[in-house]
Amino acid sequence: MLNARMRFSKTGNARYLSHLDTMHLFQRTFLRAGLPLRYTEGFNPHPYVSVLLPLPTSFAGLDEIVDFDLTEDIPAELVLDKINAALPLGFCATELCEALDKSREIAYASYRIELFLDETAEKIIEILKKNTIMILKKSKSGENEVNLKDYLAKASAYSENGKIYIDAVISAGNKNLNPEYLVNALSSELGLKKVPDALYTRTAILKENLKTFR
Amino acid sequence: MELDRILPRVKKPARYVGGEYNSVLKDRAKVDLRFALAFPDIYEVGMSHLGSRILYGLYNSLDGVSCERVYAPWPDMEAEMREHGISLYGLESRDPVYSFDIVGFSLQYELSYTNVLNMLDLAGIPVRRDDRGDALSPLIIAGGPCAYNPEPLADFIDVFVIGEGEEVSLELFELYRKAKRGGLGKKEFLNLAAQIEGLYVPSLYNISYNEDGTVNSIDPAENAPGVVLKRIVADFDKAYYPEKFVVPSTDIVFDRAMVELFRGCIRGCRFCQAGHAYRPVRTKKPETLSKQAKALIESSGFEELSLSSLSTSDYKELEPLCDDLLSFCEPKKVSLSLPSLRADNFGIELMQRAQKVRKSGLTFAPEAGTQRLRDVVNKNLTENDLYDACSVAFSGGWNNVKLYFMTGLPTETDEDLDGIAEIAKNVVYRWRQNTKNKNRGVTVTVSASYFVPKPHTPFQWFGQVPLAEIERRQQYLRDKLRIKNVTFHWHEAKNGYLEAIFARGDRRLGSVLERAWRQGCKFDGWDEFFRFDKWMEAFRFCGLESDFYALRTRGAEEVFPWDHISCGVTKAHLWKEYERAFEGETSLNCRQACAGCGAAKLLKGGACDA
Repeated sequence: MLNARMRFSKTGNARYLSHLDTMHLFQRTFLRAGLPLRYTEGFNPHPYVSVLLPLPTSFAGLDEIVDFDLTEDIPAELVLDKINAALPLGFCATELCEALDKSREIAYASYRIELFLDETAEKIIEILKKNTIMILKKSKSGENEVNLKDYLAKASAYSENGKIYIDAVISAGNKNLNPEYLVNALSSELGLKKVPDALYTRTAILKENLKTFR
Repeated sequence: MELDRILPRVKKPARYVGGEYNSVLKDRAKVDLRFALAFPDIYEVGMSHLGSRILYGLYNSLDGVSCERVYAPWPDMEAEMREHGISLYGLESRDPVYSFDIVGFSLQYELSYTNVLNMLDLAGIPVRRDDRGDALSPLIIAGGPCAYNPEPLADFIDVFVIGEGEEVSLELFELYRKAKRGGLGKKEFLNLAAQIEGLYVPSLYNISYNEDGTVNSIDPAENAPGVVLKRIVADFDKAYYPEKFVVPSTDIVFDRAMVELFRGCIRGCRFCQAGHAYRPVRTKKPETLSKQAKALIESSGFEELSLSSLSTSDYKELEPLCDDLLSFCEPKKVSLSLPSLRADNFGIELMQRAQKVRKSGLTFAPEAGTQRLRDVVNKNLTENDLYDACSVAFSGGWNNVKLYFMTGLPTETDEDLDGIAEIAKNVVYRWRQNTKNKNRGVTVTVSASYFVPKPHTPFQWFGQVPLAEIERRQQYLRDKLRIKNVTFHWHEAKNGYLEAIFARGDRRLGSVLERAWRQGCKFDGWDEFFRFDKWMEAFRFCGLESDFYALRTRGAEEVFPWDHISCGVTKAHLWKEYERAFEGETSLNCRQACAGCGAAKLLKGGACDA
């Protein structure tokens, strides 16, 4: 397997690593694992490693994806074992296969949001049912007013132990929306003075048809 | 849990979570001594420090001892911790620092002292040792280069470790364990600790002052030594060295594997504290270094290996060592970096081979702009040495050279500053003459720092050049260095002034330090947090004169606040070198002739490996 696509989880302490930290971490992990990697050319050669959909710092990820190239054909099981032995706590490589989908096919991601908010789930669901929830979205060209609902494929909520849990499928990839916008919007719809603390976990990366990106 | 709610709000949370590859978390049930290795600066700086990596590996290799890392949180994190009542914690276990047996601070630069106080406070430990009672733990210790003048921190630290920590800390641990088992109080423990060579217990010394503010005498209690002599690792080749480095999960300043070629330095530059305080010279064999380097690269995945020492090109077997390392590194795309090269003895072939994987810039430190002043500081480097080195480098394809200078050196005049501009111009000229591709352009970066006289150097008697005059000289240099292809960097002079105060300060500065910290000073080495006005206010509040410490030239007979601390080099040798400086006389390096500096006696019969 020369063009390898690896699925991994990033939880616990590892959630606090930034996207760039994660790329660098994989480069070093592959070196420690003693894998024959394809390197970039040029003044500063480094192993070709691409973590596909950047995960915001402090988000956990359960099914994330990294692509890299090997220069020799090695059985997937062996590669996976070597990598897991060389990964720090919080990272776990779960699957290695050929890349099937193109990265531009990423259209959605599903998130689990743990909200430190003592509120009924009904109230949250009520808001999520609205046809329009206008938000100010930052982009390279400045701030634009957009309808959050245009980015929201699915959303549900329930409450437990004084916390709200939200499961949401949100646009990702080219038309990306950080789920923090959802929490900010809920917070202002509820008239809260301060945005409640939240823990985010990305549970899956999906295609347009909401099937898992492979 | 609380931490997980806070971390998403702070900058670079990866600094605060630990769990990095090769970090060590021991089973508490199997540990009877917990050590917190504290570095009074942020993670990115502290993690770059080689000494801490050595001690971390060494302590964790001991049965029954666990060592955890602690760094200063950046102010955004500190504010969150204080607001939510989170005490400073060890990165590995997240247990509060106050629950450790020993907290050891690494003192690398004077401007980190406020962070020492701030970290103690964040840990819920009273900053003054007098306020900490007689409980044995936590014992607060400190070591590192600044411990060669421990006095400004004497009110806050229980025990200073003078010199290299590898051997003496094991003796300290044994004593601590005995004391813990025997139920000893801190006072009893400290009396015993003072008997161990290399440990300085400040509470056992009484300092008296003359009317003019200078030290009159330093009087040890009955059971404490009159002079605390530093400790060294005599057999450096066999000294402990970690096979694994903690691999940081986020970018740090020196993000690489390092091996240490030798300790000490043969050069004797008169401004340099490390060059004197780290003597005698002790060298590692190339085979040892090669083995250690390979183990580190394989266990870490670092893409760079650095050969560390005070003057790398003075390592006698540098070429064969590099050949060996390169044959290992190149196929792995690991680059070899050779810092601290001297322009008079570095080999360009070697540099070219070393930089086959990645090409970095070249840095030389002429230190001063004229031969006269370089002779005063005993740099023993000629302009032609520098030009030759640059010419070869430029013809070898380099187009980026950094030059380090100091301003405010003893006897410096504007002519010496003109010399700096002259050198910069000539280096650019050498590039034009030697480069094979003029289209790529060249960058010559000139940096000038504000000279700080340090204890245990020949310039320890010298009064620092006043701030206003340094600022004038910096402006003068800025005007002179408006040269095409030359960039000029200078440091905030006020930092250097405060550094000079604390470098040669006495015990009375403890109150100034505490006052400044209580008024909000911290991270003084960081321009965005440095509050010079608050420092000057703290001096006024404590009734002390800052110029007395920084600017005053000391007389031959003066008792220094650090006279009871010895690095092995005698005051007589330093004074001789001080006088030679003002005569413009250079001294031979230690390889050419032994000057009898006194450090060799630390080897107890062995020979200095200059």
